[in-house]
Amino acid sequence: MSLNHKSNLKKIRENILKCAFINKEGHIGSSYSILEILYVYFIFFYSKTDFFILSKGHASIGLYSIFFFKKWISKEKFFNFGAKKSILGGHPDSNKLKKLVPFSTGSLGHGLPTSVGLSYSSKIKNSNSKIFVLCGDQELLEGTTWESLALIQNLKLKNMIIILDKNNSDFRSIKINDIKKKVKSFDLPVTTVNGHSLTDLKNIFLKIIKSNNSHFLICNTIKGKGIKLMENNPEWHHKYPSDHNQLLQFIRSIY
Amino acid sequence: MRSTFPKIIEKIINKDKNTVVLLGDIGVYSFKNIFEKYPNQILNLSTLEQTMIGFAAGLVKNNHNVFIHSISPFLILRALEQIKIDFCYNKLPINLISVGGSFEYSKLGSTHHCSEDVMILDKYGFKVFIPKNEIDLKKLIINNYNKNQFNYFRVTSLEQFDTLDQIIARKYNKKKNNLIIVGPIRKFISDNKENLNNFNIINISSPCLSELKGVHFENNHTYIYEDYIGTVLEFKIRKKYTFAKVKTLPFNTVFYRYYGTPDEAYDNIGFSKKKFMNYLNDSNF
Repeated sequence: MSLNHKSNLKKIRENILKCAFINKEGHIGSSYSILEILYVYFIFFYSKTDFFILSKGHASIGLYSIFFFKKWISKEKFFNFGAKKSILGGHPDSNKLKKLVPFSTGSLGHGLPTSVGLSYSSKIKNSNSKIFVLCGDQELLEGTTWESLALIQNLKLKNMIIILDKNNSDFRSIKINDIKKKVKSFDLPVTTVNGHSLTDLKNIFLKIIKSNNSHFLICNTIKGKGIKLMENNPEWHHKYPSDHNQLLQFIRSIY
Repeated sequence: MRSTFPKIIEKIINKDKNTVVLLGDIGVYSFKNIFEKYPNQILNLSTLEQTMIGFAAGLVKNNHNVFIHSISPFLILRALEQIKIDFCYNKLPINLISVGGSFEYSKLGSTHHCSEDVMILDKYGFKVFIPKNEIDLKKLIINNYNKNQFNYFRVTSLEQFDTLDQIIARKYNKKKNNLIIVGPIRKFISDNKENLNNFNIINISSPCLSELKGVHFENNHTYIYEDYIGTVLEFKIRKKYTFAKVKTLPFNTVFYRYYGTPDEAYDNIGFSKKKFMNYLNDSNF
């Protein structure tokens, strides 16, 4: 595996684009906004004894692209995304990806409560497992988010790392303002980081894991990061290149 | 029955340290022994119904046996999407225990009623158990809680009547019509004891065909009493025995807009001593 991370990420973005184009499916913008987060976690911090749940399950193609990069799934399987008998669908299915996906997601607001259950289980079993859960900012509007934070506080859980992909996709809906202040009210440490800086992400992950405490990490990201035309453009929330020319144009423009 | 099942759960937890119980702030006092002896294995998650389901899924994912208990409208309807996705879609087994099904909480109004639960969970692949009495409840929980399946125990908080036991115990007579009662015998059925001698009475704990071994459908009329909407058992009988003359006594109410006692509620929706016999005497199939 090459240690040229920037080039790796460019290649991964290209794969996502190609896969979405071939299969006419994929939330590219949402996947691009979390790609650096996924990359840092799976390259530097992944452990078989931990759990990683992608609560914003529609960014599945981003997750699969990392699995493909790590050679955990074959090229054939990756580029068969969304096909009838594929193991890779628009939202990750734990029944099909048993070892890689602990919990099926897709409906927002489900990943976090389940993560809290896993966290509590690990606590009472005296296990060292950490539970990482990646949520979207609009997902915070789901009531289960705040119920889960109340549970974490009440049950004094110390092994949860909640990562928020703050890509401002709530720009045209109602918002949760002052996220940091609200989350802190549940006695949870909160940090904000540039969600596209590999260095910053790596450093904060290290710090959080060493702290032996639960943490809420707000990652400031850009939806569609990596292709200027897609960035912060809601049109590209659930859209793929329309033809080969557009595909090539996008590939060339990945930065 | 409601006071029995905490004792059953306590026996299970004594033997099985992997068991966890989640309560929706109901029946909490009844579980005080477990709270004292096994504080890590029982949590009162109050009114966080949807998160409670997800939380339970996380526990099951990490190999716990989990029971969740609340009243049926909150446990089942409020958190239905969570049940569907977190357990059924993810194939994570669970034990749901409700009280207050249909109109048992008649005095509390529609917010506390739920007659859709059995129909929906049956379709989702749950094994639905409607215990007839305390002995039945104990047997059903012990035999099923750790069988890697979705279990729904619909426990009544009303009085049970076992007055038909002798009629039920009689040898099956192929010439008689069938009256299948799913779950506990209700008062209006018990009040009709002297009128039921011409029926084979089959009292079962689950609306499934495996409970009906030895029952004949060829030449008989079969009446089914189910305490919830959806003609769940009738559908299964008709699918297998296409010739069967079977009908479910009309339990169709979702919104019951009066108060009063449960007996008054049953009367109001069509189940009194007299009305019940009228249904059974109706041979129009």
